[in-house]
Amino acid sequence: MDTIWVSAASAVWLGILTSISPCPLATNVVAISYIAKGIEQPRRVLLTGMLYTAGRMLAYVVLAAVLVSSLLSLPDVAYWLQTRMNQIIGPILVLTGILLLDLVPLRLPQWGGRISQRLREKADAWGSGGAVLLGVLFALSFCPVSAAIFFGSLIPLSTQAGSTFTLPLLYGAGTALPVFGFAILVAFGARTLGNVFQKVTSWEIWARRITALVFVAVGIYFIANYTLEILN
Amino acid sequence: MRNPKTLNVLIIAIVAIALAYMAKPSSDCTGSVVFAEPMPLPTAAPPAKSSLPKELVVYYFHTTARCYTCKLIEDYSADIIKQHFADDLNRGRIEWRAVNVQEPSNRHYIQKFQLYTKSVVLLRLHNGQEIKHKVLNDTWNLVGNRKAFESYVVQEVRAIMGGS
Repeated sequence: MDTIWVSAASAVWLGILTSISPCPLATNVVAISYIAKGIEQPRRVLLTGMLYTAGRMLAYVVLAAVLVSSLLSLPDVAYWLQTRMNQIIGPILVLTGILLLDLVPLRLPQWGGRISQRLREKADAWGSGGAVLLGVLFALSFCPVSAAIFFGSLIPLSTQAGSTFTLPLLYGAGTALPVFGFAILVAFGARTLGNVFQKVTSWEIWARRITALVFVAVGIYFIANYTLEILN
Repeated sequence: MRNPKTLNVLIIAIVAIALAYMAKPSSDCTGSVVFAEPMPLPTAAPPAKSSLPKELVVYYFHTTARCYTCKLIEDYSADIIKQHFADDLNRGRIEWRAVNVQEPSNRHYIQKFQLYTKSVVLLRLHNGQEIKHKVLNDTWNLVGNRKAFESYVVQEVRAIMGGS
């Protein structure tokens, strides 16, 4: 019984260690700004944070299941996720940032009109649903530290404990915990200050713009580092 | 935004370039072969000694994109080998190699050593043939403690060399 609790605590701790290590910093900044941007509606911040956490948990559970059942070779998966996934994320972040920014009218001739507004409304209609997707994408964009912890510590721990569902689930929660906590601090801090200056609504607009710029900046960083390889 | 069209074009160009690079066929298809070259370590000029047969290759496997901790692991390992096994290095008994596994010709190392992140690997040789190898996975756990990292690497090298 004790062993189960030790393993569970280890999985959460490994997740936290992954999150606070320097290499996922760029994606963590994006996630924090995304979760915290809804400062006008505290409930939305909590919901977005929970959905982001759920996305990460889902990604790790599925990945662990695939690896443990030996459907795919662990070294190949680890290599692919550390190289290709980071290349895929760059353009996705830039495009999402453009949509959030709503400053650049994207015109597609065959549609004959301005689509960015419609797309943005749709993105808003998803509500926080995009947070699940963001959680999945960021969980799968492994960096060397997270790969060492997930593939080298968590997978052996899960296999040893015979818990290939619960431990990856807890690990996923652990990886989201510092980001979620920090986002709540940022959002509620901004809201409190906004209340003092009676500017919550206009601050929300700025929070959205800052989030968009963070998406574009981090996206460009990913493209420069992992696709163009000009930062090494 | 004063000139959204320009920004539009600029951002879309960046994304397009990224996508083009991603779609670019890897140099697997070009037929070019890049071998992992032994990296000379900066050592003090040694007196000329007779060379010995190679018995150990200390690999550091990385990808093209490097991270701070990865570089630290590489630097620590290279320094430790240079510091503790200078004579073996100079006489060719031990060799240090930094290998980029993203180079198509080096990709087989991923399967051979079951690598899942940047790794230090010891490959023991006898008469030029591999007799065993060890992936030093704990370098990731010990990188925050230089002394512990050093004694781990030294111990592992001595162990695989048979206590020599």
